[in-house]
Amino acid sequence: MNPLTVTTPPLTSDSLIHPPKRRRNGDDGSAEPNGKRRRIGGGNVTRRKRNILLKAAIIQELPLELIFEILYHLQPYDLLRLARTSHAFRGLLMHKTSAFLWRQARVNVEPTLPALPFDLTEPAYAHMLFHHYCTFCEKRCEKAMWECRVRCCKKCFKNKFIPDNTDTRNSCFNLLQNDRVLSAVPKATGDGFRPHLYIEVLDSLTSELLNLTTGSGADNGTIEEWISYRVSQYTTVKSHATECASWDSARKALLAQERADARNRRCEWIEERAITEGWDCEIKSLHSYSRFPLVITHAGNHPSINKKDKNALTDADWLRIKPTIILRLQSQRTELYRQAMRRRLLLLQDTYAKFLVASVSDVLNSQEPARRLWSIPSLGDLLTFSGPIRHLLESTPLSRDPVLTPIWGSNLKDFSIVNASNDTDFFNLIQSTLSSSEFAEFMEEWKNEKEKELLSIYSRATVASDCTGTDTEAQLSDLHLATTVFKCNALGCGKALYYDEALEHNCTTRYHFEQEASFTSRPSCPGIEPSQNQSLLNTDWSRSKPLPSFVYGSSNEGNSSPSSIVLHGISFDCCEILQVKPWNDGGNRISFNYRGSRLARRILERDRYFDSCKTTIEQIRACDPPLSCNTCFWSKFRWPGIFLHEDVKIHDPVIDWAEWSSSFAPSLIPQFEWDNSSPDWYSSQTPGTSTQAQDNSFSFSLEEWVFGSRCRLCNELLHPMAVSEHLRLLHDTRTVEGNSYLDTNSRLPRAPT
Amino acid sequence: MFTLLSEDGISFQAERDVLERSVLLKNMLEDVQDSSNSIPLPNVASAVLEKVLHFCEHHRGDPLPVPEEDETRMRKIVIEDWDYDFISANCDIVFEIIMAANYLDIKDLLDLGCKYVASLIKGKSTEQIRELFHIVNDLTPEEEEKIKKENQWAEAV
Repeated sequence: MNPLTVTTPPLTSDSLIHPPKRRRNGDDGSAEPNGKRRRIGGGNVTRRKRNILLKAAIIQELPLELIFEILYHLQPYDLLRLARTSHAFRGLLMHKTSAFLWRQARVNVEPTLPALPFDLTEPAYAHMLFHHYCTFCEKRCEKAMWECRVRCCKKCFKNKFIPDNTDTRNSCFNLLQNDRVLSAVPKATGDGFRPHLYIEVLDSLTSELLNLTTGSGADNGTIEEWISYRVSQYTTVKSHATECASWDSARKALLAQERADARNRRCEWIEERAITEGWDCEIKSLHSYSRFPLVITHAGNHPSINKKDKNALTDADWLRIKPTIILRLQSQRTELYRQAMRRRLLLLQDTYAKFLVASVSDVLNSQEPARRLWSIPSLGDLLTFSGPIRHLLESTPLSRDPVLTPIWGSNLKDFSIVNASNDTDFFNLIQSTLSSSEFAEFMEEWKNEKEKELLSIYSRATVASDCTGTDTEAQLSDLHLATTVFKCNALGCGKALYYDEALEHNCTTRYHFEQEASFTSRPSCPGIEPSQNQSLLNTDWSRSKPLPSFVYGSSNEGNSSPSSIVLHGISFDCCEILQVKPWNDGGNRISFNYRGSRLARRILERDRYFDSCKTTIEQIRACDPPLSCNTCFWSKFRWPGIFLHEDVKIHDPVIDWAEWSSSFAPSLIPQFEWDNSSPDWYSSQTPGTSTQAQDNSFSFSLEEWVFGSRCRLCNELLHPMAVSEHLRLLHDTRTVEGNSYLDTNSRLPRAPT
Repeated sequence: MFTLLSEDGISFQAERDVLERSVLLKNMLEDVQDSSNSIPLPNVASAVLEKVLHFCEHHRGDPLPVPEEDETRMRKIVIEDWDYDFISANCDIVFEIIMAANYLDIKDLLDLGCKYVASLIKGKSTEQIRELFHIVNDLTPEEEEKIKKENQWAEAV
């Protein structure tokens, strides 16, 4: 006898619920083993509280009709689990008289369930439909064999099913002399599509058929009738199984939809909450292919959220997921500020270029070549040097609104993506700042500052090498001496520069290709011992030393760069955005040119007209004396060409007055009175200056900004790197002299197209 | 205004349209025209009666629920927000409220209580249901194992 039938007590109200004995504090059965509290059901009441509250409940006094009224709202699987709680509930629910409850429970299921099949009871049907565990081993299993009325895992499938193949049919025929019975055996497929027979039913049918065939009075007609009956039963089961499979698919789709809806509701709630806390711009800017940004979707799936709870999230949920969201939104906010800053700097770059073009045009139109335009700060200096532009950047609040509007200029190429409400205002602010008197003062201040810096380089070098031969302190006028030569240390350049050229030289503001810090021990660098400098001065650098190494990027990486601006607590490297550095940033781009200086002094010392200690580069440029090399007998060259003859062991350039035209008289060498207030040699147009000097007067075009150089012989625009090749091929000139081409290579911002 | 007297002797006053949410009280009020006499409710405690009157007060003027003709309709557990807040705030006396609603014949309150208890059961495992209602597990482990496999009607077993 089944023990269940014996032990099931009659249903009474008292037997349904037994109020538990009072427990001491901390010994409550409601506590989770791990000490956590978990919400159950749809309410906001914790399980602990609810248990305490329901402890005094009088459910045991509820009339049976009220219990039924509650059970009417449940589904078959709820009834099945309730029936497994105790003998009393099992006695109530597993009795056939309670079938009406199960029928109602089936009606409550969405989507609509197929009707109860003839071969299953209500509880068995509920078990098959909703109990997603292997029938044989009770492991989690989703795969249902609807025809067989079981769920079976892969492991059990091997034991419970056999393939429906010729061997099986032959065995069956040998045993029963009839294999038609196999048509009544339910089938299922494992991993593949091959049908397998359910062994349990096969055995049952086989034994039944054996009983029939061996029993008395059985004839072929009876057996055939039995087989037909079983086959028809199987056909009905098969048809019902198809319905079950369809229902299962529909239910899975419905559950997936419910889960998606619940997730969307959670995401909506989270998004609204984040927006109310001021993260609207960040969320708006986080574009996504789905309905919500990824950060919100991840938060909606956060493991700390009870996803079975279909109600809205609570403040406690928000507190749990908030750190994750805020971290991501904070980085997005930083990114928005960076984008805004980038737009603003690009606007500044364009506006500054236009401003310079307008300034140059004014000078050209007014026919006043008296003013040097090159000695103006680069964009890198504007941003890093304390001045009106830096102040403008720091004082104007940044907008993180990601709504951008393209602003089109005069042609299609001239446009900027700007924030219409904010960046346009900033554009106007830049224009007004650039045309203000404060900016003019700033430019003058910058120039003075940089000249002092050059003087400092010169001063350190002369103290180290004592090349002037005097103990007097370096003066600003020393920068103008023809023997004061600087050198560009940028990769692939090495050009000899005079003070004014050093201020405008392009390499001094290039962002990339800086000299590596380890190479700063060259004699031109500050901090080196004078004695060491002196020895290095006489060293042949041509081949013995390894080539200097250079790094790509800024030498200030990792340190606080002077080009950094802190706005809204976020550090921006302005120069990294614009790929331009302040003049001589890092202090090792321009150095004193010892060899060039020594060479110039040697040439001047050997000439009868020039005083090596007093002659200025302006004077040299004005008379532009011809030179020739006694060693290599190259064609005549002009003063800048001497720096191609630096190696005094090989070359011996001298001023070759014999080659000068008859119109030249050494007495016409301009004698300048040095004036700190007007240092520009262009402003001193001495009467009778040679035609060559007149040609050196200022001239340039916008295209020269692009190409950098113009050939004086054919007036062709050239890239600086192509000058040498151009002169050699087209003009058969083997030497590249300074007067062969006009170097317009400047560090001005890129010119507008 | 009519006066209701709870089983513990505390009286509550309510207007007619509030009391008429209860079919029982509605019938009683038809018979008792005079409002000076209090109506005794010996089966309802004052704490429960207070909640019941609160519910009726909130739903005064709502159309009375019509008895369903089709008993086998789908019964979804859908609870309005206010009702959910009301019943979950009083979950300690939910069974008393159900019984009072049954006694006073307040169908929507009875429905609300039953739906709430059903929602507590729904989706729970066997062990969770036991824990929730303090049902003592009187099944032996062997019986439990067998029950999981036996899903036939008890009389058929």
